[in-house]
Amino acid sequence: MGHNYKIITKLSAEEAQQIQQGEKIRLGSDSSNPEIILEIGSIEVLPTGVKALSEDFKKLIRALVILFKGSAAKISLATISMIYLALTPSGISAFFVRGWRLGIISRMGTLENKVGIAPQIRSLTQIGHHINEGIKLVLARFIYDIPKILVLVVVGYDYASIIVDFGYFFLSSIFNSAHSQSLSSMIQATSLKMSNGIIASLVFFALYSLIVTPAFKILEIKYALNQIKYSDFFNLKELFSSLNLYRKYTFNTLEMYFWDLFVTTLSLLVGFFLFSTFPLLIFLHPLWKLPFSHWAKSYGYGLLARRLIFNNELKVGPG
Amino acid sequence: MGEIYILKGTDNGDKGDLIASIPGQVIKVERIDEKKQEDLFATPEENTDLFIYIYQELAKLSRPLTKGIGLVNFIVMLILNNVLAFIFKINEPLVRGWRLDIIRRVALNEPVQVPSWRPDHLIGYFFKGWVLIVSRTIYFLPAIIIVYLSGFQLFDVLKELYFFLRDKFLNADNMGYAEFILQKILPQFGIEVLIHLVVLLLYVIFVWPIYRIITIKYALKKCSGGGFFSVKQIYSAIQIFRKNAASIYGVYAFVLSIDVVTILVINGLTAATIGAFALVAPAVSLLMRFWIKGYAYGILGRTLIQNSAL
Repeated sequence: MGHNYKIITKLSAEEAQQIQQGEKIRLGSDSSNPEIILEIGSIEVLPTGVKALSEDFKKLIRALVILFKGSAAKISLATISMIYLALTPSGISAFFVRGWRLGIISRMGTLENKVGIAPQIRSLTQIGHHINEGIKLVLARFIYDIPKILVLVVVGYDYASIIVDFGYFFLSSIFNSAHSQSLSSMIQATSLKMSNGIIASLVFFALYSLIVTPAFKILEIKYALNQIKYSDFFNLKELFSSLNLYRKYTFNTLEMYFWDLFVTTLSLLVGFFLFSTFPLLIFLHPLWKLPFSHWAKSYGYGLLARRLIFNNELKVGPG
Repeated sequence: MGEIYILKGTDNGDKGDLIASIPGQVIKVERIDEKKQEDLFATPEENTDLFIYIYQELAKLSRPLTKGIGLVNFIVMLILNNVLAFIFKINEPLVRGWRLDIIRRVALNEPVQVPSWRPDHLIGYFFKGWVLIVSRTIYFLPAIIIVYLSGFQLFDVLKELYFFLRDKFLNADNMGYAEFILQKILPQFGIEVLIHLVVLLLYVIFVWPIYRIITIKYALKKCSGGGFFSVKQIYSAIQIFRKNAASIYGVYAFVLSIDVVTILVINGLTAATIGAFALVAPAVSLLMRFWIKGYAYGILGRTLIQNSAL
């Protein structure tokens, strides 16, 4: 009595026109829902394409806003940032934050809205737990990335030379009014460095990153939601199952993957900027990375997780 | 063909057979009982004050040093350590053995947690300290060899970085960042360095915790010095590690952070005071790297005992 319902249904244009606000329709019974009669409150098309993109983008931006909304969020952010900063000199922060990020995806997929999404830290053991999970993930990611790393190491010097050239060019044009060289002469100089080997490896790099890495992200989501065990990261059957899921949800996965790449690049630029302003400032880089890189990325993958759950691709119970 | 629609409606308890069924193909029905609120980063209820918690833990950590026998023991050790540090570094095995005793006392929650300075105890610390130094060297030999091999490369890189930054600071005419990275840093990196880094990382993540677990057992007299090389003890340590990874990594992260920061600060202050700080560095080390770390491992020992791991 008095319950609100949300129904996702596929309708043809004529069928959609038949349903009006205020009308009553019967919803048949099935295993989980008894038969009910609903009074229609609203009907709208599920946003797709550009509209869906802008809806998701708004959610991602909102996620950055909630970091600073209310004292609870600010205190929590300050606390976790402090821990992240304290662990940075020893390098163990990289593992800690990966485990923390896994916790975010896990909470976004399972907890109800009454609690905060960010895992709160109350003890050293919790920090240790995140480090432990982080180590497992970094190890798995490293193994998945071995082909890319090998290519990079073999052709690396030339890659880096091109990337540094471009990076330096763009940064110097932002910060100095006088260019040392024009863009066309830069491209000319670069094209001399591009051999067939480099082009082939660039193509391999791009394809690998677009095919394997997003599938790995889906595996991470499944692991966060306890759908798979750690050993399943190295199980070909699971990998193919995730690749299939990626194929089915290519748009949504790539959406979040490109968001990932975007915030990572932005974060790198911020780091570069800090370092070039005054080298020691790089030690403050974690304060940017935690909210605007790590949190932003994991929220994105958390949204993807929610979408997969919503579409019944993953069986999850209430947390 | 058709598009996917989202319908929202309310069940008012109506009944009737003449009402038409919903057309189309229903994909999902979801009951929304309450208005879904926006995601929250954190809620006030969850937010325990970590800063107060840290303050309390730090207070617990320093209490044994601040009164009674503990204070006396600590001051004696401070003086002894500082003096011996300048006599062929004899203090090294001594303080390591001293730290081992701290681990035992804290793990067993003894009334006096700062080890005594009775001469016969000091001799004991000295010998146990040697056992620790030797076992640690053997454990980390592969890592030491790698650091030695790639150390020269890294040293060169650091040297170049230092000169580069110094020149930048002095605004001397010099190359830009890009040329610096390309000409001075990148050529040093080949696949060997990558392998080195991976091995070092594996050492830090896996070997060190195992070594520390056996150290705790040694402190609690559950194994002898030879236990570091006993297959049975290593196997047992691995099992303990697997079951208590979170606690172990938590303490380990704390200890590692203190270590790194302390080393940086000591070296920084020594450089800044042109060596003058080196006169008191042993005292700082004793507090930060030996007392605090010993206490932390002692607490870990206590946790492992409570979890019936030891």
